[in-house]
Amino acid sequence: MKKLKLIHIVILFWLLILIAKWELLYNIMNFVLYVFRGNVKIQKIDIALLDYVVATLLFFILPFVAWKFRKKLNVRISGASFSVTMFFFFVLFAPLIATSNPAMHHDIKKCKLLPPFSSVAIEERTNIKISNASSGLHEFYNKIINRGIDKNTLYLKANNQNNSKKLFFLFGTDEYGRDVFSRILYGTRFAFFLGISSVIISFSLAFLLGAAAGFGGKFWDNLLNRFTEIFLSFPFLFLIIVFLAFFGNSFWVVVFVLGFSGWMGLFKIIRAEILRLKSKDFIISAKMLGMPEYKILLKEIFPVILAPVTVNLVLQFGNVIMAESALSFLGFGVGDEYFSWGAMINSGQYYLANAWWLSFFPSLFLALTLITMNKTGNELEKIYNPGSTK
Amino acid sequence: MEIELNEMKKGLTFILIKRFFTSILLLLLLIIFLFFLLRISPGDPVQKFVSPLLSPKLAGKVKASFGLDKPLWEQFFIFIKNLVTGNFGISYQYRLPVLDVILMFLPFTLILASVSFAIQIGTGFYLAFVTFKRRGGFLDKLLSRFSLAVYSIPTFVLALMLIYIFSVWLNILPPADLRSIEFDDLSFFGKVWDYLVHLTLPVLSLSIPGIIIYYKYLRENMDVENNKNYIKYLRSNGYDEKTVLWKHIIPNALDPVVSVAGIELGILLGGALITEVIFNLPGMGRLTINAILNRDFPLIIGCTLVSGILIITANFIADLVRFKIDKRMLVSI
Amino acid sequence: MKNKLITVIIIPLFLLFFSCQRNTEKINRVVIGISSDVETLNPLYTMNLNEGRISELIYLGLVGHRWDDEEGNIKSYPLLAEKLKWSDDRKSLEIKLRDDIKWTDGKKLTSTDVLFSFDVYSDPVVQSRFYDMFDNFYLEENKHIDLSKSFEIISEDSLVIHFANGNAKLFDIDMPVLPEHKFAGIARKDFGTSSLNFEPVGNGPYKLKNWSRNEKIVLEKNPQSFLSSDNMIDVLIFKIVPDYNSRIIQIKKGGIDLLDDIRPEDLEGMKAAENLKTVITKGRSYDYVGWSNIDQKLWREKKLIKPHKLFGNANVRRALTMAIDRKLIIDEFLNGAAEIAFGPVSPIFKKFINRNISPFEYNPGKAKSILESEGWIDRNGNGTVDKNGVEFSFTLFIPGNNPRRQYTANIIKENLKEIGIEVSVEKQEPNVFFNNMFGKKLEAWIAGWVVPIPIDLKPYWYSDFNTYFANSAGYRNEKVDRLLLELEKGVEKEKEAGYYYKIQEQIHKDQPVTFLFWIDNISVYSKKIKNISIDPLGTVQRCWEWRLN
Repeated sequence: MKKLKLIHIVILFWLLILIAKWELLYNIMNFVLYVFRGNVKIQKIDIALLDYVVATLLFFILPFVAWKFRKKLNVRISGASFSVTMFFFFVLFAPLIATSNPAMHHDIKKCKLLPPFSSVAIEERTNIKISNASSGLHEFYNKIINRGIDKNTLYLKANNQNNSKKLFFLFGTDEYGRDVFSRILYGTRFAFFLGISSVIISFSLAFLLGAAAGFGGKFWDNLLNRFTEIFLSFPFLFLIIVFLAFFGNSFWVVVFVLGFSGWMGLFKIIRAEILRLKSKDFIISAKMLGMPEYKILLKEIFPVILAPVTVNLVLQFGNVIMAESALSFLGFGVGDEYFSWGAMINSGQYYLANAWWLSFFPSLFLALTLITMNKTGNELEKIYNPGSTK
Repeated sequence: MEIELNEMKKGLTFILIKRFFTSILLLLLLIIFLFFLLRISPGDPVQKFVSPLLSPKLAGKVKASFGLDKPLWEQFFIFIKNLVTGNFGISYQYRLPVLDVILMFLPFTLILASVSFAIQIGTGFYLAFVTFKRRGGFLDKLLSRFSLAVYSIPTFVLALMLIYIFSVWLNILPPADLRSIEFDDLSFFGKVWDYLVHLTLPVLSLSIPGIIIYYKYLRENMDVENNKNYIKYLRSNGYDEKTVLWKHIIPNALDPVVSVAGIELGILLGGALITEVIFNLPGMGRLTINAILNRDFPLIIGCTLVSGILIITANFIADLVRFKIDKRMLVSI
Repeated sequence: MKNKLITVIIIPLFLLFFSCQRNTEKINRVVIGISSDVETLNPLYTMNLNEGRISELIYLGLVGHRWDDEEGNIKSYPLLAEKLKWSDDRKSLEIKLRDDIKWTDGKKLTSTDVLFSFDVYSDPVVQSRFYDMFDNFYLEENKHIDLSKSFEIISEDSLVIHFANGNAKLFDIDMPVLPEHKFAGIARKDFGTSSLNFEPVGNGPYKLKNWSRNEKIVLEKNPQSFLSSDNMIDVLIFKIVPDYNSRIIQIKKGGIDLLDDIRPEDLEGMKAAENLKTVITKGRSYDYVGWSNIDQKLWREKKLIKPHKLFGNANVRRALTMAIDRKLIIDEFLNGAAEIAFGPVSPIFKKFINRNISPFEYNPGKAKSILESEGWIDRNGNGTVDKNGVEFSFTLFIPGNNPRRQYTANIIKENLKEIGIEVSVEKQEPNVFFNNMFGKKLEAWIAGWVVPIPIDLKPYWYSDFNTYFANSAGYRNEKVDRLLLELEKGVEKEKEAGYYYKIQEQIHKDQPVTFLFWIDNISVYSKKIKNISIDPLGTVQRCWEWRLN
């Protein structure tokens, strides 16, 4: 175990996907060639299909990228780096890894509340066709995409030995016969994008305010400081809930609300950094040379600040994911269409007694993500500030 | 020397009071912001009076009696006037004055918050002292390894874990509710026991993250202090371990912990929303959420104001305690 | 070490000791699970179902109702009244009150209480739920009942009501009677916030014992009541459990004895439980997909009526109905506990439902060809049909937090994709959703209606949108309007069904909305309760007849 390197894990995951999903990958590549040769005119971009194609292309590019960074990846594996790699794969290749459409209600009567590692036999029927399909496109469409409702699939009783084709539920199914594993997979993706977007918002806000405090003079500095202190001790949960309850809880509203409520910690650090840098020679000389202030900010200060702030960005990323799942758990998150872990845990809590896997697996992944983020934050802190013991 | 300190004290009190009042001012600004947010938000507070089974005119009449038909500025003027006279209006859904409604739910939140706070502080400090005394011992290793993991687990996941273990698996504690349905028929001790049994899991799931926070903060600060040169100097000069620990390490390590405690207590007092929801408890958190969902405007504002005041007070107390512990704090403010 | 050992041993012992020490003494009581706390027990303001159910056990009205299953309609019988006598022209009603009725504070119920009740129910200042609903009485300008014209008090326990027209029914006097002496000292505008909302003084078989907010409402039997008997249930507890699944767990474990609104997916589990009895009654609530028949923007802004660009055509709406696989939703999601709907008359109204109509079968091929004949063809090859440059794509709105409607919306989205219609589904917070729906701001949506008892279709289908806002689809048909008006005026009993038959035929032909299904009501109760009657009027309505074994 001691000799296991990060690169090995990457190769292992890559090979696993390749072996398990070679047929799907083959179909998608075929489709790409088909389109490339100009056999079909694409009128409208189908987002679901695009998702598959992009994931596949990335999948085949990955080995080259890994080769390029082989030195950096040649480090000992740790718990945190292992889970970061896993989440990285989940986010990028969700459509390739997923065993079924996360929103799909499989034949509810036969598939609901199946325990982990169970499977149902399926039979493919090809007699029902999408009536409006006009081109060869839909052949591929059917082969590639896990559809929301699949009339071409007949669900048979579990353990029917005669059928070779089986649908496997790694983490079981929920009360509507949806695959918990696929939902968690897409949930990772959702959590990632939500976290990134709102951290970017928080950071931009903190940077702007930090710059205002740093360059705006004593008055602004005092005012903003006072403001932050009070904001830090204030419970924004209720205000957030008022906002989400009244103004709809679409993805971007949640992102903005969480982004706007998380800038305070970042602001403090950025302000302190700017004040420290202001007296440094290179800034003073830049000023002497007549560089405008916004240019100094962007060209001189921004790159220097990025390093010490990274730790907080990582921690903030974890906080946002936690806040979103808490909101979803209360029913104020983005709702069903985005596969939030919090919402899954919430609906699973009622089945605690007879179907523990519904909330167990999303809880596990949520906790794992948060631990990883906190751990990564701590490790980065050690790299940037070796003196502190925190 | 004496005089100087006194003056410093005076200045400090002034700063603290100033700080308290700016917080209150900000709270008022927040309330005003909330007032307008509620008025411009989509949805209708008298929605339930709009139904084909009722007269179409009824909703309008009710709206008028809530004063929601007036122009916005007039509503605002009335609102400010009432706020100054301490009149928060009448809750739409409870048909009672807002303060009466809040007083029905506040005692429970206060008790739950103070019990959990005491447990958090007590256990957190105890763990920090014990592991500090036996550095490198089993408990120390265990806690330093797993504290980050426990700290990272969200409250609702923790609560569900506890429910699964104690209610589903072992089946010894009830999974929800404040008391059982036959509560009124129980003897006095039966009643006390009933509360105890029902509140064990909520208090545990509220306390565990807090325990870890205090433990981590205090323990890390104690380590930092311990490695400082003056402590080494004191030790080498033959001061006994007890004096070093209680007179020097702890007072210095405590300062940041106290301000964290202020924030934590504030959060607890504002209503432990998720815990109340999971365990179906009648506290401020759920009251506020229901008020929001029912668009009970006076109650939303009342709840925000009351929890805001509690939070500001908690932070103020934390400042006072810090001031008591460490008189050099003036520099840090 | 010793200390630790003691704690380790003693704590579990304590736990065992106390958990065995549960009070097992049998109390004659029934626990009923409800989903949310009530606001008030004052019959003036009881808006929602639970408030009504509880307050009607505390306050009785002049008449009570029973469900006649063969007729499919309600039958009224005297309750607080002993005798009711209509005059020949049915314009006045003589009421003789029972003389054995006392308020729970000991005062006798008299005819002035009855007069007072009608007075405050119709008073605009009081804002009661019955305000503006007394069309058959003599009214003042502000819809307050003209007391001197309408009522004639003969003695302490008898009075005569004079109606303004001959259409009055017993249902018009179906209001719980209020105690005048209790309300006397309170200004009318303060009724809404008076303590009588929480400390009712009633006349019914039960009275309020205590009410713990957000926890439970405890009623105990009122021995003074003429309905009470020795072996009726002593204590009724309405336990508030906001979460549906917790209610299900509690009724299985015995914490709750009676529960309504069981979801179809739990039907099998309930039937399997040995201590429970499951009752399924035909539903009177239906889900539908609303299509905006009129151009809503034009109507909102200029009050002009023009057919909607997509849904303005009845043929198109029929095609939409044919393209939606309603049976799939019933089989898959509702576990078969529903019936495909074809019109707004619930199957419980056996005499009124027009069984000659058969619902449109699921037939995407036919739907597609209808669309083609209406000119909706995919001309630009993007997979979506279009006409005059307008693509057939729209947003289907659903209220949030409703798994059934979410599932239905998913199925509809896939179904309509098959015939070349692009649907995007959007959720809205319920309060916002209904506000938009009544305000005619949604072009397509999924919602549901509960058909009132006695049946009344006018608010939902009459073409005067200004007054009848519940006609959110903007349905207009002269024939239906005429029939609804005549029904409201009152028709002979034998001919009534014919009117409803014709209305259903016309609505089926026009398909203003796609009727989805009538959802069965599933109630479950513990087998220890005997003599319980469950029908469309509810479960708790006659609970003074219940017995425990």
